[in-house]
This record gives sequence, structure tokens and C-alpha cells, in this order.
Amino acid sequence: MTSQWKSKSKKGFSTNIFKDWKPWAVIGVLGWSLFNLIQIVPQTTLEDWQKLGALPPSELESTIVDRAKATPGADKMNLYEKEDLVKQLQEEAQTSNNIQVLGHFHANNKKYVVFTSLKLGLDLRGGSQLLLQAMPAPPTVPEITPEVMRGVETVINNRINSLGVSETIVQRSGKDRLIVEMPGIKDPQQAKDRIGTTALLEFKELAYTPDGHRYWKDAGLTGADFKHAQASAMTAGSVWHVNFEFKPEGAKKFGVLTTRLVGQPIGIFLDGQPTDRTADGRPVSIAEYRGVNVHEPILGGSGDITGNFTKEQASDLAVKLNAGSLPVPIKILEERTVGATLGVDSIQKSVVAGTVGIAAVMVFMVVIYGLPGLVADTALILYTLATLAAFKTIPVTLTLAGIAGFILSIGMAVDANILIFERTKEELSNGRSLFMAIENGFNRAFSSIFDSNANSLIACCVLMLFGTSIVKGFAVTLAIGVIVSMFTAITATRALLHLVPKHLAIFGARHKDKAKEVV
Amino acid sequence: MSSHRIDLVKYRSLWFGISAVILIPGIIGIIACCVRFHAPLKPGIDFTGGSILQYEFAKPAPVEKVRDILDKAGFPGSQVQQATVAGKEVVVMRTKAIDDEGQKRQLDQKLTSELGPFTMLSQDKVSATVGPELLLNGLVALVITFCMMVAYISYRFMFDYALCAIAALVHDVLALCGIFAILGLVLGTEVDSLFISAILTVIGFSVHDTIVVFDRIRENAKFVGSKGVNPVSGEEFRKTFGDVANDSVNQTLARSIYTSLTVIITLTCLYLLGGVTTRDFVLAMLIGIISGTYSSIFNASALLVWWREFKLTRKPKQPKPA
Repeated sequence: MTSQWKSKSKKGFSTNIFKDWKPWAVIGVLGWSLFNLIQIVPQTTLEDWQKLGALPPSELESTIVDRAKATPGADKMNLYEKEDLVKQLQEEAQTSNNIQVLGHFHANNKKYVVFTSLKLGLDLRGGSQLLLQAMPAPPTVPEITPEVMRGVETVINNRINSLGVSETIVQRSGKDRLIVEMPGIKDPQQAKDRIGTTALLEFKELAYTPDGHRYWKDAGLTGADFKHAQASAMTAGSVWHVNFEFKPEGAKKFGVLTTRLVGQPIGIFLDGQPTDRTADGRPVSIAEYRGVNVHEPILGGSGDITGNFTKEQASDLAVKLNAGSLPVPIKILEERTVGATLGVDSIQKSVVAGTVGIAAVMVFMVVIYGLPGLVADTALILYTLATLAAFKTIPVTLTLAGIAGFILSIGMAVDANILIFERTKEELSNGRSLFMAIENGFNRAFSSIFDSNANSLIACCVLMLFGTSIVKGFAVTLAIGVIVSMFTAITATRALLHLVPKHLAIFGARHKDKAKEVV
Repeated sequence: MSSHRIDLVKYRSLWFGISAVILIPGIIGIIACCVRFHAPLKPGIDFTGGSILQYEFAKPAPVEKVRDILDKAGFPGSQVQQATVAGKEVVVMRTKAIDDEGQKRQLDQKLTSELGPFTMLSQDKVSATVGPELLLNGLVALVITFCMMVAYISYRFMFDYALCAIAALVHDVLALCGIFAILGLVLGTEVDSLFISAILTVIGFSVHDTIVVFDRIRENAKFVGSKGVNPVSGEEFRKTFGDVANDSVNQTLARSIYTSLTVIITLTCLYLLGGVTTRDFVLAMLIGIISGTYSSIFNASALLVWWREFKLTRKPKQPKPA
């Protein structure tokens, strides 16, 4: 008897506590989610951000520094404030590339934009992802060491930057691999052409084997001796060539070489192929290649490469020479490229599928459970907002597979509610009061909710550790969904259920509510 | 209530029989795949290496013509299909991995000069060296998930619960793979690395479902040996483990079905309305989840009862409760 008294007084205490914090937690999470998700800025500001965001990484940095200097009051700022300002500008530029407009409105004669900015993956925005592998080149580079990789990374970075595409990322992956991401790239083929070649420029001289065969012999001078190269049009106009200037040491070597070879040809080779092009743009064969005749010693350290280039070929070669040659050949192991049209289509379809999916689940819950179903639906809306806000804050890059994971997690989030409601119904049919039935329903359903969610999380962790990038995107969204659902489906639903006025007879409990409470 | 009751123990052979009807053709399909593709399922480029190009031509492009151009450009034996992607008529080309970018550029030029301009919808390439790596990673992930789930369930429940949950899980994975093997043979459906995540999700869901039922059996296990009343004859009897499992399954039945329905609703929406790229992935999850619900209700618990009864008969000292 005494123990029952005790438990009763305890219950009253916990009731007060719960009345205190749970609804507030729900309101807090809702507020945080909305605050995080929805941004409102004037149209002009947004356009300005977008101008910044469209700049390629190399220009972006200098533009931001310039802007920060030009900001009114910048001269009075201390170092930290300046740093913050630069950071803010960087964030704005980044945000502008990931904007989903929700609506517009006019106020004070200004047009405002309401938007959210979830980070979308390449399969939704359109773009190209490449997995590159550095291949050892014996005898000079028998093994890919971290130093070699650093060189490769720098060169690839330079080449990508030269494309003038914004938001490109070059990332190391494992011992000898690089991941290159180029969102919104218009011509992936051009990018691949530029990335894939070693761009090793070599000067060679003619030599003869003892039996009289002609061959090109290495003259010990390469593109590494260049200071600068530039494409320019020949007088005729449609034929282009590449001017170059040597570093001092290279200039000396070139001077010695050309003095020795006056009246003889020098061969210029790019990645082992003559730089001369045939009419269809392929390098001429080595057997037919005649090289460039040296008329007089070139001592000034500059010269040019002629070879029937088109404008594109010439500027491409210049870019490669400036970016430096790769120490080893590169192989494109994997390519995933999605055109912008398919990306837009995928976004639209995902939004429709998500909305219809959530709506259908909500209708289902109301049909099965009535008013408590509506409570679960409210929790589900909270769940959707909180999960999206979490995606934005972390930030999670949303891919098509990631969205599938999110939509799947909606179905699973409802599972906790179903478990609880079924338990509550059972408790009611066992003669408990509504309050006790809800409390017992939650407490007794908790172990199965916890165990089953723990299991889903185990699967997600393994996917994150071993999966490819597509698989990881899926696992991350599913895992976040599972964690958020633990809060919304349990805490939020519980708080909301108790707020429902008793006379509304949830779970068909009206007649039982009048029965005396048996503890 | 009693009219909706499912008798787990009595119709055990029926429940296992239904599973067999699904699994046996699937296993035959898997064997046929092994013979035809040298793999249990028709592997996509993620595992074999290769390139897939999806081009939308401004003018209609005849499949034979495209194939001809591919042949001449140095990609003999490529598959060319007409497909509708994102509401557009698209030519899908499957070739060996195009490692030479110069060759790729020439192919694009030839296609443009002979068939007119096109828009690239997507292009994927996996070189033959990464394929086995992706497959190995996937298999390692599968094995680790299995082990971790056994460990978790053994820790939270008991080892024989874990074994039965895993048996149900193997059932679901087999059902899923079997159906995809048949789809691969009939429709040419290929599996990619997303398929491995579909399997892992199905594993997660299957165990999730089984745990809910087992959680109830664990909670009700204290009633083994307690008095029960036969609703028809009114006779009193002592509850066996089978009776308790039966009760538990029936108590969680509504939940199992409702939960699966909500997941099936969302997945169906994704399948019908969602992006094309993930369609097979969603289909795989749908199959797995339907199978997972079935196996958690009918197979996992029935197996557990069968196992416990089997153990009882091996211990003659303990009188069998009637």
C-alpha cells in the first residue's frame, strides 16, 4: 500500500516536470529549425552574392579581399573583425551556389527573396566527379610517394582553376588518388582533356642509329625549365602558336643547344607526341615529323612552338605548360557526370515524391488512428523540418540516394509512433486511464524502439565506413533521420498527446476516462 | 480479435512453404545468372568496369546508326538502347571503359557530325580496376553488418534469438537477390553499388522488424507455463513457448503491418514519382521490406519456437508442458 502511495506522489512530481520542459523543447526545436532553414534577403543582395559565387576559386579569394578592404569602416577594424568579414563574404558566396527559392515578396519598395540553402550533390545540380589515380612511371618515379602526390595535386589544382569554373574541389583520397569535383561544369570533356594529359614538354634532337635509322634523342630540356607560356595568333590569323620564356637556367641550356644545332632541326614533343597537328587535330606521326629548323642561336631565353594549332589547341597547350607538367601520368578511374537538365529533373521529381510520400503517410495515420494520428502528423512535420535543418547545419550534401534515405526514414519515423499507439491502445483495453495508458504505452514501447533504431544505426555506420560516395550520402541522411526521429516521435508526440483535451476521446477512451484511476 | 489471429505454430509448414515458393525460383535464377554472367546477379559497370553514356539527340537517332558509329570509333560490341529518361527520348550507350579521352572526344565529334547535336544527360565511367574494389568493399560491409547485428542481438536478447533473426535476414537477402537475378535474366536489370546499400538497408529493416516481435516474446516469456483458456472449448491449459510466441506475434501484428505500410507508401511514391537514377534501388528496398515484414512475422518467430521445442525434446528430464 505504502509503495503505491509513494509512486503516486512521484508521478505527480514527474507530471509537473514534464509539463514544464517537453512542450518547450518542442517549440525550441521548431523555432531552431525554422530559423535555420528559412532565410530572407533583398533580391539585390542575393544577386550580389551570386556574382561572388560564380567566380572561380582563384579569383574569388582576391575579390573577397578587395571587397573586405572596400567595406566602409574597414580601416578601423581590428584583425579579428577583418577575418570575420572575409569569412562572412566567403559564406555568402558559398550559400549563393546552393539556393532553393521558396518565394518572393515586396516590402518598402524592395523585392525580397525567401529561400533555403541546402547543399545539393552533383547528381542534383549537374556536374562532374572524377576519381584520378597517379600511375608510377619507372624508372624516374617507381613509386607514388606523398611528395609526388603533392606535386600532382598542385598541378591538377592549377589546371582545374584555369578552367574558370567556380566551386571546384580537389581532394586527396588514399595513397595515390585524387577526387575532383566540378559542379555545374559546362564542358566536362574539356576538363578531362586538360586533367588527363601529363603535359610533359620535351626538346629532342635528331640522331642516327649505327645502321642509319633516324630517331629523336632527348636533349635534356623540358617544360619544367619554362617561366611562362602564352598562346598568340600568327599573322595569318587562323593558325596559332605558343610563345614561351625560359627560366634563367633553362635559357642558358637552350642557348647552348641552339648554338650547337644551327642548321639542324629541334623536335618538340608533348607527352611523347610531336606538337605538330595534322588537319584532323591529331599529332603527326613521329616518322613524318620534321621538327623546327634552328636558323641561329637563340640566346634571349624565349622562343615559340609552331605546329598548325587552332586557337583552342594553342591556349590549351599554354595552360598546361603554365600549370606545370605532371610528374607521373594520371588515369581517370571513375567518372560520374550528370548534365544540368537531368539534375533539374531529379530535383523536381524528388520534391514531388517527398511531398506526396509525406502527405500519404499523414493521411494513413489519420485514417488508422484518428486524432492521435493527427498528433503523429504534427510530430512528422516537426521531424521533416528538424531533419532538413540538421542537413543544413552539419552540412550534409544531399544526393539522390540521400533523398531516398531521407524519405525512407520518414516511413521509419512513423514506426515509433505506431509502436507507441498500439501499446497505448492495449493499455486502454486493459482498463488503464488515458493518462496512464499513454505513459505506459511510451515506456513499454521504448525498448523496442531503442533496439530497432540502434540496429539501423549500426547498418548506417558500416555503410559510412565502407561505402562509396553515393552509398555514404544515403547512410548519413538515414542515420540523421533515425536520430531526429527518436526525439520527435517520442518526446514531441508524448508532449502533444497530453495537450489534447480529454473530452476529444482519443483512442476511443472517453468512457474509460470517467472510470476511476487505478494505479 | 480471435478471428484475426494467426496461428504461427499450427500452420508452420504453410508459412515456410510460402517462403520456399519465393526463394526456390530465385535461387534457380541466381544459379542461371552464375552460368550466364559468371556472377550471382547481372553486374553493372560499378563492378565490371565500363562506360554508360546517355545522350539526348535533337533529331531522332536510329539505334543501328549509333551502334555503327560506336563500332567504327573503336567500341565494337557496345549495347545501344532507346530509353525514356526524365521524360525525354534518350540513347543509352554501354561500352567498355573509355580510358582514352582522345577516343571519347572523337566519338562525340562523329556522333555530332552524323546525327546532329546532342545534350549529354549523364556519363559514367568506371575503369575495370576499381570494379573489384567496389565489390570487395561492399562484401566487407555486408559481412561486418552481419557480425555486428549478431553481436548486438545476442547481447540484448539471447544467442538463439540472434540466430533466428539472422535466418530471417538471410531469407530476405536471398529473396531480394533472387528476384533481381530473375529481373537481370529477363529484363537485363543490372546491380550497382547502390544495390549493396539497398541490401544493407533491408538487413537493417528486417532486423528492426524482427526485434520488435522478439522484444514482445522476451517480455511475454514469463507467461510460459501460466494458465490460458481456450477461447472455443473454454478448457484451461498451460501455455507453451509456442503459445506465448503466438500471442506475441499477434500483439505486434497490427504494428508490423502498419509500419511496413507506411514504408511501402513512401517507397512507392519514390518509385513512381522519384528520380530515374534511383528507381532500381527503390525497387530493391520495396522487395526487401515486404519480405522483411513477412519473415519477421512468420519465419523468425516460427523458427524460434521450432528451435525451442527441439531443445525441449532433447532434454527428456523436463516434462513437456501439455
